[in-house]
Amino acid sequence: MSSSASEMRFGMVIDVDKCTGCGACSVACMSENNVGVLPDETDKIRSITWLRVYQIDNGQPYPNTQIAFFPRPCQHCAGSQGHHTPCVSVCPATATDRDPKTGIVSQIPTRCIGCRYCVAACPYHARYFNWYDVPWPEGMDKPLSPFVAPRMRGVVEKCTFCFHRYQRAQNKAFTSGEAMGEMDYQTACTEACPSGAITFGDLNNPEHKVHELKKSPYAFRLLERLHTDTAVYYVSAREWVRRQADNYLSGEKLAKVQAGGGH
Amino acid sequence: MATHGKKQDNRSPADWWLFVLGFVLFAAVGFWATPAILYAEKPQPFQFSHKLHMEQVGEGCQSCHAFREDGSYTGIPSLEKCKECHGEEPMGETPEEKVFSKDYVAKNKPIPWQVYSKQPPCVFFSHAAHVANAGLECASCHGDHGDTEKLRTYEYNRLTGYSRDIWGWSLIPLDGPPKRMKMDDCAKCHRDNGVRDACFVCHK
Amino acid sequence: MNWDRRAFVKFAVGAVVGLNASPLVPKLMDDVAIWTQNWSWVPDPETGAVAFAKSINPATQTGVKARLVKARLSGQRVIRVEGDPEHPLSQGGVLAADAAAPQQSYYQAMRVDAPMVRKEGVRGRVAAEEAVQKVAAKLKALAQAGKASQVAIIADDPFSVTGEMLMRLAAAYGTPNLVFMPSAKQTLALAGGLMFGQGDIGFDLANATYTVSFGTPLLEGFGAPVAVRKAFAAWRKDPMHRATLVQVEPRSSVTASQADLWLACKPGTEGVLAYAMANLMIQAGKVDSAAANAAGFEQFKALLAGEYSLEKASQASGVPADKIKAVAEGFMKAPKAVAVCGPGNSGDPGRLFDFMAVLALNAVKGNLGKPGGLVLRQGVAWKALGGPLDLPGAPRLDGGGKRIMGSYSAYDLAAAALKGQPYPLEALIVVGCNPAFAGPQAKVMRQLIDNTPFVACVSEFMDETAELADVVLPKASFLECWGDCATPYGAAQSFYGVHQPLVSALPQTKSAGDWLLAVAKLLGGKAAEALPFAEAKEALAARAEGLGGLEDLAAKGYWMQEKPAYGFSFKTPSGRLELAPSALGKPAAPAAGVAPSKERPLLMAGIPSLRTGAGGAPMSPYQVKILDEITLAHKDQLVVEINPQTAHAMHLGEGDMVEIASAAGKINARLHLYHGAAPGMVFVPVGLGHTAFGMYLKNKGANFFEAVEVAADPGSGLPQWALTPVSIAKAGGVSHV
Repeated sequence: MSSSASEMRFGMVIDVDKCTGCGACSVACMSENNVGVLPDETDKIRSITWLRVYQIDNGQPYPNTQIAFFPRPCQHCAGSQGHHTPCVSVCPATATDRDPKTGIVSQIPTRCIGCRYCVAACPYHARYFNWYDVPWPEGMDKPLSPFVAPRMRGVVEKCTFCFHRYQRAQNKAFTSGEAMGEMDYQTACTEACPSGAITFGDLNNPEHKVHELKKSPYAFRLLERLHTDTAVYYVSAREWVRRQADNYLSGEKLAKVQAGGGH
Repeated sequence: MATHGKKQDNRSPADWWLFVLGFVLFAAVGFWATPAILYAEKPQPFQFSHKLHMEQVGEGCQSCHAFREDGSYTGIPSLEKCKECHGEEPMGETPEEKVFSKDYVAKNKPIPWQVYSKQPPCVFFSHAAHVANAGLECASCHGDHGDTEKLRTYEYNRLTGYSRDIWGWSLIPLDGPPKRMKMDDCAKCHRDNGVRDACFVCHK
Repeated sequence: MNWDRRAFVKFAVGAVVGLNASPLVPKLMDDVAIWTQNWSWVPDPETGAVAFAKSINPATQTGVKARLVKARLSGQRVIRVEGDPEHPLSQGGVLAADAAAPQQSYYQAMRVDAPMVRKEGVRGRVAAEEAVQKVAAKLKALAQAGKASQVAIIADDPFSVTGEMLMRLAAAYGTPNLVFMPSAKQTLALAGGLMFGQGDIGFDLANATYTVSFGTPLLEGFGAPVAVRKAFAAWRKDPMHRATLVQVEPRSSVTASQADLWLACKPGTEGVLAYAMANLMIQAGKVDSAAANAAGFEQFKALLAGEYSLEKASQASGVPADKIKAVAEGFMKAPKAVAVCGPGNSGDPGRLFDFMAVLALNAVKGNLGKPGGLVLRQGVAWKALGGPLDLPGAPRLDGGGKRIMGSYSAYDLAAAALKGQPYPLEALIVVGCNPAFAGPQAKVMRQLIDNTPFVACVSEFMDETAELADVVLPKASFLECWGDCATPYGAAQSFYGVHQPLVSALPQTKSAGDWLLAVAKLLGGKAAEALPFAEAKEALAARAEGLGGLEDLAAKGYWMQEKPAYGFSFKTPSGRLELAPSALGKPAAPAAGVAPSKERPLLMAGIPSLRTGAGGAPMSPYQVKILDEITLAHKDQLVVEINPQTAHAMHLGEGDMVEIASAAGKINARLHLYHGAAPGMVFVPVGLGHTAFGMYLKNKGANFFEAVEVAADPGSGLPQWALTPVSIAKAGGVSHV
């Protein structure tokens, strides 16, 4: 078992071979989670994108060039083999923690003191710092969702696997008396993806699709050798894509690194 | 205490009454004057008798403050909910209802109630978890609100802007009713009941 | 007692101890701590009951459901636009543009929030009556002066209810000059019309097992993009039985990368490859009977054998012969194979030559009217808004009568009006589109607007066209009004979608139809008679009568043909497939004229993207956020792609700031060396470089359409801008890494 076992472990399996890089997941995420917009978003150090879609290519000359896309939400690391969730272990304010029940790494902006230690610790660039207050001018604040509190300057924010949707699904389960099903809790990006590249569910639950999908021989995770034991799996039949998931030496064989044991 | 028999060089313990006076006076300032200065009142739009309504409705609190189909909680009912029973003509004789009918129902204007238990935007509270799942009574947190004939005074903290209910009406840590609703209070109750949760279970 | 120092100290100490014995200090400290966590300027969105309502985004043709929050105090608002899982085309998926739609509706700085009239050069808000009166008075005066035909109307979609209302209004008013923005639907209708006698055709992608896409961005803006993705996802569902996708185009695009095979052809040779594959099939004796019995088949066969042999095609396209052969064989053997044509990568309507080659390839394969092939659509049975009207007799400015089937062309209209041949324009009305930005040759359209004495526009946004107009009528967004849209390009089934008002974000806005009715009412006479509706919703209801009524349509959100209609018929004069269409004599010649020259040695093409959006439709602020450094670099520089070899030969390097100049205009950009870019070409993202829309979008990058040079497609005569010869030179300015 991994060092931080949890009852449930929500996670994703993202099919890179289906992703067309259209950015629908990213925008759906921003709209769902009240992510702010700054006047200059070309400054990527200060631009906040909980779910960023990275483009990679195989580096081959014309006409053998190929590109692929990596949608990157927070990886919700558990940490294995004595390693911790990188951000949680460094936070001096306990503004981020890993929920033992769902395996989701939380972020509480109002508790954050803005030291950005977690931003530095995250190997996936999944954490973002609010360098400015978001202006929300002239009606931009109207479509804000009441289910996620807008952030203020000086705090860190990141993907929460739409935990508020889990809460709402749980509310429904409590009042209706019916157990929460797989489809009752889905993240905004999963729902939005027009090519169905993202599958979301409880990795520990054999009834959920992700449980099977993550066992694909083509499944891999990002930077597995750091023993972060992430909850986001990627799938690609293309070897050059899988190779870019970690820092392999040029001659090194792409071996499937089994980190985390339990999963 | 008597003050006679004082002498310049005599450190009579009788002088200690001044200490006591200072103590009592300023402790009084701390206990009674502070809240008076720190808290301000805001009037409710008009008076409302929960008691009267409880006698008229069939399902207790749930008649107006209910769960929606998706498990979320309505909180203060919308004007539409009021209009399910009330028309533009008052049903009773009270002057409050006339205000309600004339200024709100007729104009279709939502009622700007002051909400005693309003939490900051970063707080997520699930009535479903507490009422439907844990089986708590409304009154165990909100007090005997449902039996009152009048809305109690709404007070808010001049510094923080939050309702007085949140910090609690008592200045020493005496708990309600209504129950105090600060984070520590939530955490304590969770601890006492063996509920251990992650931060974002209550924060959004 | 004496009130001496000692007494005072006793009292003071008592006071301090007393105060500290009260909860005052901890209480105040706690309150101060809470106060420091009050961010009054951070919005606190009011919560409420969540509800959903179905709708359709006409810009993307995605069936959506709006997530509404009905707040107790602030009323109802849309917080999300999400996919509608029950929608047959989009099945729950959305695009970035859909998900960002609420932002676009509510963000006032981008919208036109009130009617505006320019007085002495200054634009100001006026009452709706005044703005409408101004337009109507101008039109009336022109009509009385016998200059009705000198009024032109440019609109976005001929198939919407607004489009039909405009047709009626233009005819009744007396102008023949109603044009719509160029679209691949035109080219496909022409090709289908010439070869099959009917143009309402689609590609049954969902059922195809082998798809060859000829130069069209299948995954970057083809038809209803979500629906295409659903088909794509189905092809990839079962790893053991993956359907094959082949992409033919010069650049390693998203589609080319996701395809199982990419045929990297020289620019403009996609159609040549389609004919070469048809030729290989004929040589192999694999010809469907309908094709073998086609009018002009022998002629066609000889032409292909002569001009489009494997060697010649391989040489012309630069694709190795074995690769062409492999695809032809795969196509031949696959039980359900389809060849696809569509809009070009530059957002152009495609070349008729390519389209006819692709249709011919499908005919030779014999997939016409079969599952996974080319299918005829049932059509949308909407009711016409009224009886037919006489078309005005004056000649059309766009020279429509001279083109096959009289297709319209906004570009030709502008070019002719600017020359004053046969007559200049007195007034221009732009409805729901942004020609001053999206041109296609933006400068020509701007000149037209500048040279026309009176310009009115009905626009949702304060866009480039609205900024130049004399009167601007604020159009409601699809979340705010009634409206419709019809079958997306290339869809296998006929489709009709309806959207309804869900919020009133900006109370002064109206649907385009309502503005037209207001103008028609003031015009009176024939114009008012042609549109006998009190509001646009009535027109929509009249139209929807043939489709089960507006109420039911709105609740469901759409009407759709139940399943693809299999079976095929030809409505050509010969009653057979026309492989040598009489209108052309022989398969149209490939596009000539667009070739690099010494002064302009490179060919420029667009990079289509669902992130940047298409045409003149603006991106919302959230969409700007998802542009990465290879589209829009730091400090708002547009990034263009060039092959490293081409760049090195021109002594250019990564990050160089360059000026791209065509005969039509120039743009500045930053170079990105990309192996996937075809040598000898430069690829420019389409949809950036707005000069309007406020801080999130203004002056971000440069506008592709500023450098586009439009030529007439030799086959269809429609405007064509897939490729533009350009020169590239190092420009000043510091490139920022």
